Amino acid sequence: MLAADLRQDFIRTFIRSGGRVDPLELSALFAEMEAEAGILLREQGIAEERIAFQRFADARYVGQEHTVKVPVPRGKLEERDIAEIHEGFHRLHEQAYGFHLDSSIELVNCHLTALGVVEKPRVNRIDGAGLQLDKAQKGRRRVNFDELGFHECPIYERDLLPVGEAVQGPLVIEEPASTTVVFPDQSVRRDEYGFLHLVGCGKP
Amino acid sequence: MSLDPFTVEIIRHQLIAAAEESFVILGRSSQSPIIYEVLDYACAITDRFGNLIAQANGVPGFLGTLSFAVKAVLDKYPAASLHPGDTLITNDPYTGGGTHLSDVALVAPIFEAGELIAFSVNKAHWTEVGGMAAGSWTTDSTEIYQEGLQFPILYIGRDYKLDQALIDLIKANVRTPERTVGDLYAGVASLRTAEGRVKEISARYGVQTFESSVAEILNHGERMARLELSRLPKGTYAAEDWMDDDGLSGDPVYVRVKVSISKEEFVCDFSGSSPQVPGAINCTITRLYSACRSIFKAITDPGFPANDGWFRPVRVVCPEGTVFTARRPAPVSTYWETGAYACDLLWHALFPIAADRLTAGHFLSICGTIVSGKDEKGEDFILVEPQAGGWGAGATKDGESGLVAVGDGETYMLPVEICEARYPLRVEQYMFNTAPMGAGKYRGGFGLVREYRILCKDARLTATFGRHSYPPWGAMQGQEGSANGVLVLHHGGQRTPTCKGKLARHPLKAGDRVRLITAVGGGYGLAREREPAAVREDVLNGLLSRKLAREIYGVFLDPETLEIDELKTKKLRSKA
Repeated sequence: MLAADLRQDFIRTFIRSGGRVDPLELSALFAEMEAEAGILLREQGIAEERIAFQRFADARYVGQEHTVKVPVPRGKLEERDIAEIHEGFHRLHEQAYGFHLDSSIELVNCHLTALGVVEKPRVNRIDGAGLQLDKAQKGRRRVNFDELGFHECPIYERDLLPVGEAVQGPLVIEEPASTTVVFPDQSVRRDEYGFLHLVGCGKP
Repeated sequence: MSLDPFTVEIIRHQLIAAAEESFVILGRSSQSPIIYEVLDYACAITDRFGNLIAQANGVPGFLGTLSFAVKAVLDKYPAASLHPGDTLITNDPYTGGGTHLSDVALVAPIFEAGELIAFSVNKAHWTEVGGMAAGSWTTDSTEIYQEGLQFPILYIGRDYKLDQALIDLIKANVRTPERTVGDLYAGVASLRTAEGRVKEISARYGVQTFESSVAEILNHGERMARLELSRLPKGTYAAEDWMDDDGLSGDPVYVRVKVSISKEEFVCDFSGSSPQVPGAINCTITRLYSACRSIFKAITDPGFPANDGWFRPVRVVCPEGTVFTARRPAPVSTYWETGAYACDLLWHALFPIAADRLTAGHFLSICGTIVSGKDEKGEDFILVEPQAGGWGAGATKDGESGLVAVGDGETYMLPVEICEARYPLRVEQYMFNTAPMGAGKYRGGFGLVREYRILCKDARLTATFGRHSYPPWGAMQGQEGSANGVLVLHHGGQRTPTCKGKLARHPLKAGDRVRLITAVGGGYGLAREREPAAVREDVLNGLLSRKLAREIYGVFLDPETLEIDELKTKKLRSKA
């Protein structure tokens, strides 16, 4: 949550049927929306260099009611960008519904997402010196792994796990806010920033 | 393998979620407002024998018809001949679980580990399937061949690919090829979504657990239904009624039902109803089944998710060749008029034993309307929609106003904005029909008045508004409701046009108006027993005049303050 950027969305109705989209007109509209969004974000104290934009078009096949959101290239648009929007629409429609048609396309909205990129908190490296697996183990108990049945396995304290060492499951890692269950066919490694990397699918 | 109830319950809900997801996919990718706005479609999953195990509605008129579509596929193509990626299509009204040709069912077998485990199926009202009239249904067809393309249970695709030759055939035979084929693709997308989810479920739990859970889902449905059945009073209950006409002759059509409730069975016997008629109101056995199932569900437990186990105690009796069980090539394009009567007869017959769950008669007819023509760009347009109307009063409440008919269930009205944006029409008014009918201790709900003005040069109107001559019934001495009807007001035409129940491609010019009027529902109990405060409330809301409050309900309101004059009211009511 602390790493989330500020975000505001701007949408304008822009109905254009068939292939009849003028790249200059679309460019001008997005430029106008970006100018408007920029003012709003600067008013909120976001520095110019921290403002970023993402452009989308809401599009559909002529006759449909619901739309699919298609990314639109940045900057000044040309004919080939319009073609790219069309190709993107067919591809994303296929992804959402499992088919695309040879029918003509209708643009419905221009959608601009304005982001105020915030400074992300720094994640510090861990000094792993002196950390040992056997010292991280706080006990053993019988654990139910669902389809894989019960296993007697070690329980570790997350903050005490050594850095960079892969450990084979089954095992459980505890910490004050969460518990990580590592299945018998999985292994886990704690990296130098404290993230846990699980390898294996966890299935019978 | 032992089966724990938790796993069964999880699988049951996952199947319902899969049906609902496929429902959303169909709606979002379709191209007909009657699908994506009105929701005139349904999606379901059946077991490998075609028994319904999960359904997303849509339309209760489709309740139970989806499993018949799958069973019809299995009759024609035995399970052993089916393969993954097969896609079948049917709209055959007489055998294929069909209703009318506009309702097109798509069916796909689902395999896991090489075994057939289930079917995904959906049925949607395509706006156009060809035939003599735009929108494919009309009130004056005389044989099925005039009502559009017939798909008598065909392969429309194999190996996850659709048959281009068939698609070209469809395109060449319908008035809106792009839309119709768009709806076909949307239906197939929905099948694939359900297929993927069902495969995930069976892969996760194993085919054996999946199959035994499905069997338990059906058996559990049956147990629950039998428990509810055992609580109903045993006996025989009957009702009879008349339908306005068949659209051609003007003669009324007689229908009847006898319901026998025993410990074992719920038997609906429609014997003695009129033979099939020359006009397009005939309905077929599938719709008759769904009517019986809907009412059985309504008086047992409407809240329990539908599955075929629930319907095992239901038996339908009706000889072939009646208006409820028409045979080829009888026209069926407005079958819903008769299907709705099947529901209403059962409803009326069972009212005495289920007054806590059923209300007095409602406007009943779907009030189907088609306005077609060419818009200003010269392109064909077809507006197809149902209308909402007034429902009957119940033992403890007034009827609902402006609600879709029983056969339509969870569908919506076409919003005025969509209507005006998509079609060359202006909605001149959309208001309650406050005709002073349906009076009672509890009064019937109000119908609606919706009026279109034609903005293009030429258009045509087809409409079927049943219960035009025989209004909704009142209960326990409640007054009957008003009639459904259509008024065409030609620009500069006669002052008092006739209100009609059925119209077929009636010609309209720019400036003409079409007033669609739906009925007020039937009342419950004596009007003179209505709470005076409720009468006053209706007067304050402009739904009833002061004069009618006095004449119908015997409630005297002070002309200045509109307060109830207790003394005068008492005097008025004692006279009655």
